[in-house]
Amino acid sequence: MKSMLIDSTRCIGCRACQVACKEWNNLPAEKTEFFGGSGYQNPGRLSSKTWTVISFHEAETSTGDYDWIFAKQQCMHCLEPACAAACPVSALEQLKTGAVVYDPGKCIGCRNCQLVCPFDIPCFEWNKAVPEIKKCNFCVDRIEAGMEPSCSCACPTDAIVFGERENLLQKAEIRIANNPGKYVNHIYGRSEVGGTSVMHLAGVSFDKLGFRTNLSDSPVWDNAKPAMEAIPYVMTGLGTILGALAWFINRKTEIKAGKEVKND
Amino acid sequence: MYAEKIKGLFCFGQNPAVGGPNAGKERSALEKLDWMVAVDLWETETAQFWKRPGVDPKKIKTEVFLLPACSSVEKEGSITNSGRWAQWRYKAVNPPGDARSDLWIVDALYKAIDKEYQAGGVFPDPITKLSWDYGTGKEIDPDKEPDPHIVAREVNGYFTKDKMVKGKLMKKGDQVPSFAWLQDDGSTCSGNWLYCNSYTGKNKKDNKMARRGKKDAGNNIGLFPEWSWCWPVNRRIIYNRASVDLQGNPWDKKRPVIKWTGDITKWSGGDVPDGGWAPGDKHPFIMKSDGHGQLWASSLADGPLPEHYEPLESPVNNLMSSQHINPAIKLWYKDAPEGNVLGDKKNFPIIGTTYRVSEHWQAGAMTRNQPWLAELVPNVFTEMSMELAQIKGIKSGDKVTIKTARGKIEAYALVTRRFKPFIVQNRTVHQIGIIWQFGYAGIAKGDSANILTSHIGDANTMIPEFKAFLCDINKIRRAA
Repeated sequence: MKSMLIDSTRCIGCRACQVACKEWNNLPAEKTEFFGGSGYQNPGRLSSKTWTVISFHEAETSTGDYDWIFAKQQCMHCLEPACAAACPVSALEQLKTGAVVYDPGKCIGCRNCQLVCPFDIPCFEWNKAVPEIKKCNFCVDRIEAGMEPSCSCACPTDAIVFGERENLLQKAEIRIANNPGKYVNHIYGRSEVGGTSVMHLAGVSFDKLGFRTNLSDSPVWDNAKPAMEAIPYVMTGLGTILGALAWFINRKTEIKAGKEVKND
Repeated sequence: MYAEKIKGLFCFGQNPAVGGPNAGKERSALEKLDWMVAVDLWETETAQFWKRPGVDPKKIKTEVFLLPACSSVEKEGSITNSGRWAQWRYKAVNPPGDARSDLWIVDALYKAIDKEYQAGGVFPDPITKLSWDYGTGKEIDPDKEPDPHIVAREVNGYFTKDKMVKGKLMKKGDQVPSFAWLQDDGSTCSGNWLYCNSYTGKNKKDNKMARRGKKDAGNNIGLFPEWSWCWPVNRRIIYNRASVDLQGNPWDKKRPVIKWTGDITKWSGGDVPDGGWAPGDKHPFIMKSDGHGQLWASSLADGPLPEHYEPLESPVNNLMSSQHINPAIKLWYKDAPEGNVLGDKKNFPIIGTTYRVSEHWQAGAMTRNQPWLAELVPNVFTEMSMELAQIKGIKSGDKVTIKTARGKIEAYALVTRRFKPFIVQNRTVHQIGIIWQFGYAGIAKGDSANILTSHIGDANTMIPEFKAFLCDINKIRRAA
């Protein structure tokens, strides 16, 4: 099983991973103003156009100064993905490599995947007539060609490393053991929601970096299944309405922007 | 230029309208030119100074030419770094549109100038008798790229006639093997003696700058002598004879650079020794008049010993010396007062400094035109402490003005604990930091922080005092 280990203590916040992700996956730039989150974070959140984001967290250092700690947000590629389990038409599926990928040809737009994902990852293209779900696909095309994902490939400090899950777990344990005081003694993703292919190490408790720390070790779908089965049709309808609304709002903004240009 | 003594300017990949100190004055100085040629990948702030915000293009007499240039992957040639390596680069893709390599542009420029001088002129010989043949013929040909290998071989140098050197007969046209073989009788030529030894034969395989050997030298200290080439004579560490004691044994046994192995075998180790003399025969700092490394540096204008001076604009007195500022610096406010005004700590109580973000490169032309990088850092911003923000009623995302005696800019405010006030001489002094890489061109636009900085030249290098000035900051608009 292919996996990724992201070590927050090695991240320098350069965001080469964000650019590499957009470059490989042909994702457009978002229109941003100032910053979308703490520090230099941009964009503010994951979206259909942004599949990974480095979040900035200001924290006190051992010398009493303040510095940033960085965390990488992206699909965790769960070992037992709730999104795939909740999808009524198998538009989301887990490949042998561990990548959880999406097939727009099968998707009916019900957005169950968004509702069950414990990490709030899948994003809906609200402004498209035939919207798709968008999220990190683990650069599955690269993995299948024997390459590593674009983000880990671009990382200049090896804060993101790619490899076999067993090897990475071992590497993570060694780093924690060999650097007393540097890491919190936890490999995030080793057992959360049944384990994930993307795993994180950090020097501060994970809740300070925006990670959910109240997740059980059992797969999400075990708990969510009964509830989810009751609602898909309601959500399908709501999704269509919200989608139409987003289209109109966007259209209005575009027309307004066009007028402003003319006025110049 | 501002005094109208300089009539024309070639700007190859330079953007002084953003990167120059006191940029408002530098922009006005460009207006005094008769002509300006900008050679760049993008229409930079400098290239479009004549239509910048706040000026009337009709009133600017400068004739401006913008020549689209190739990027580094669109042409073949060499680059050098400050570690003295010269590395060869291959062309990966064709340039877009009419973009040309700087080599093509210089070659065409020479041909055009030569043509003018052929018709006569004052002292035409240095132009008309110049040896200039890079494989493109006599006429300017838009499709003929000059051969960078000819240039590189000429920079290395070659023999212009047969000559016996060091007991060896060198033939006319042979490449000079290294700088010790250069002659003072016209039998050799070399573009730059430092690069002599970089291209030692007529074939492309003799181009040492193109070497990509990944093997480290025997001493395993990371010199990688077969990767590219380093001046002089591929010596990776200059003055390396200082790394041994008087017997020639390395001071650092674990990380030897070179080692003396006796009168016959001389030096071994890993690096090229800085001269073949036996240890003790000659002091190692061979380019210094006394042969020694210098703490007492008589050649420095503000030497011989280091001293602390305050920046010209400073909110505090110099606690280390009765001399407030470096007495040897170039003070433009005295020599060229127009626009070079100074601020005092009463009107401008806050320390200003400027810096870069990793998302943008230098004056920003190459990165502020990239949508993905513009997404990451779209606007000019200034960072400040919680304490200063509270005094000024500023919150993150607010628009603020920053003012110095030279000018005023707008920026977004980023309030951060990473900035802290200083306590100096029992007084609280605040500091702000501004990203300087913005301007009025490109996708991501913003005011240039160098509008605020001043023309002060370092005593030895003339590097401007960009990084310390006095300013004031005020909120103009609350965050949306």
